[in-house]
Amino acid sequence: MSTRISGLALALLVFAVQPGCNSDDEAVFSQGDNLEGKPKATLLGELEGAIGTNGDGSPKEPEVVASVRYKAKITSNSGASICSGEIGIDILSDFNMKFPNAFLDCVSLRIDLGGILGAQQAAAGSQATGQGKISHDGQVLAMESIANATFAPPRPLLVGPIVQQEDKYKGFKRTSEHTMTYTNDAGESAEATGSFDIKVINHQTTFKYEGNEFDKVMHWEMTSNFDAPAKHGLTFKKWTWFWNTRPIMIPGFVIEGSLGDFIEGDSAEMAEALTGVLKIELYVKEYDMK
Amino acid sequence: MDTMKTTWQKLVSFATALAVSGCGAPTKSAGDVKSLFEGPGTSLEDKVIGLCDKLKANSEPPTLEGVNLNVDGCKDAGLAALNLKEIKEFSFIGLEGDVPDKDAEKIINRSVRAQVWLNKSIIGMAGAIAKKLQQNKEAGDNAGFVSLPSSGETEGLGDIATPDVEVLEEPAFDLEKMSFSTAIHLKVTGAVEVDNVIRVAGGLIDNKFAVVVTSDGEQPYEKSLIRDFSAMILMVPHASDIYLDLFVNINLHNPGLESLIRSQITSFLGSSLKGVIDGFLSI
Repeated sequence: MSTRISGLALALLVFAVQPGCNSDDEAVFSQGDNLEGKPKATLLGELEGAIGTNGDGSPKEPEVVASVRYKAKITSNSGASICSGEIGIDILSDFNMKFPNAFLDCVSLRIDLGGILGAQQAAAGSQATGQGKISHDGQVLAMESIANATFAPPRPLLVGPIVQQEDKYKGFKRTSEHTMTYTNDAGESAEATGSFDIKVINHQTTFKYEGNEFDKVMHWEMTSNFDAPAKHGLTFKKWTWFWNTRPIMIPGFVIEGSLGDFIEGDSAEMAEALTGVLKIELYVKEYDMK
Repeated sequence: MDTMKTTWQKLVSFATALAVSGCGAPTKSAGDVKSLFEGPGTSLEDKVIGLCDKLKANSEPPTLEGVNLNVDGCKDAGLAALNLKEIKEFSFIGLEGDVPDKDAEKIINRSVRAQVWLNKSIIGMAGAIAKKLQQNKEAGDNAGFVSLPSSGETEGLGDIATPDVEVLEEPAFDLEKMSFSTAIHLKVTGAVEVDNVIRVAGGLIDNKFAVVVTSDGEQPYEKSLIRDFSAMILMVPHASDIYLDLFVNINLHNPGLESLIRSQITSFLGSSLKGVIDGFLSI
């Protein structure tokens, strides 16, 4: 009898202890307030994306970081004034340019400034400039492809553009030879060779225009001699820049070349005036740097 | 009778042993050590805040004393954490930074925080570090486990800018204090010029790892686009993973086009910091 009671007590002891072990252990890991667990990520919505993405990885639209309105003036080879008007340019956070209205309409002319400044297509409305592989050697920014043309080696495009030491550009000159490959108007692949000459005219000067005054301006020019229409690769005869180094701003630039391809006119007299070298001058009227 | 008593004693011993060790633990159950898993100081938030407090109080490196870094009390740990495997770049929470010369608009301040789960166990990480240390020892390299790139070994930022890293002070690992320190000279040439001396100090504090990075002094615009910067990296083992909390404060000279520079620096930080962490984890 005594043995049977002891056996029962033993069985009860075993069954009483066993379930208690599991329930207590599981509670350690399954409780909602288990502090060793990873906290719920409730602030993901506040993340700022990197490399053009939002925090959730979706593509981020480039933002307008500067808007500039220029006064434009076009003169013919003979020096006669052909047209004047205004055009706006937006600079985007991905370094592209956007033209709220890519065309400058004046008198009977329609000028594709977006195309002149490197846009891929001369379409109405806003458009962004094309951008190829960019490189920099410490003084000049170069681009491999631009405006439907490819350059070997990459062509120089801008002096600077971030200028931390103006003295570095004092008396700066450089000549470089390039081969340009492009598609001509017949749709065939074509090649042209030529050179770019860069010359810094004044590494630190001032610029004034209609109440706007800039005191850290680098004045430089780039000339080229490619035997091809300027619309291919932006191979203008001459490109003159007034570049304010800090804060970065382009108070003015002048383009000279065979620009007839960018201009549409409906009179025979105008058509004749548009042949040969034209000069387009753009000077800042107002700007908003964000 | 004696035989019956002996049998009873054996049965009781067996039952007791079964009761105590029945759930697999040889001596204590998880329930017995419940207090180790819970309570103050064991949530991720408490671990991170505790580590920050120690770094603030430290008189020797790594320390936050004299470091211009808004850590916001190190609160909200893990609330914006992503898994390292699932991201290509780091994303950031913006912090309120101290903007020097705000009125003159000559400085762009970027103060950000990134949180990432490394998806690695501390045991795996410790094993990798120990292996690297052993390799260095066998190779006769007493400089430590951090091998910094030397000049000419670094890749350019595309073809826009070329970074050049010169090691000024070889990484030294102090096994007694469980800490290390190093100094490098970072130069970038190309579209922008950067020239800063960077000091790095790290240490093991209460089984967590902390690194504080600071630049020497303030560089003028003519010499470096980066005026000064500081950063803190915390690595905290938690929930069988390693949590990384990264704070960065950077002051750039403003050349103009501030919003463009601001967006680019966020992109640059996101990709370069991911590269640094990937490089560290590849040891």
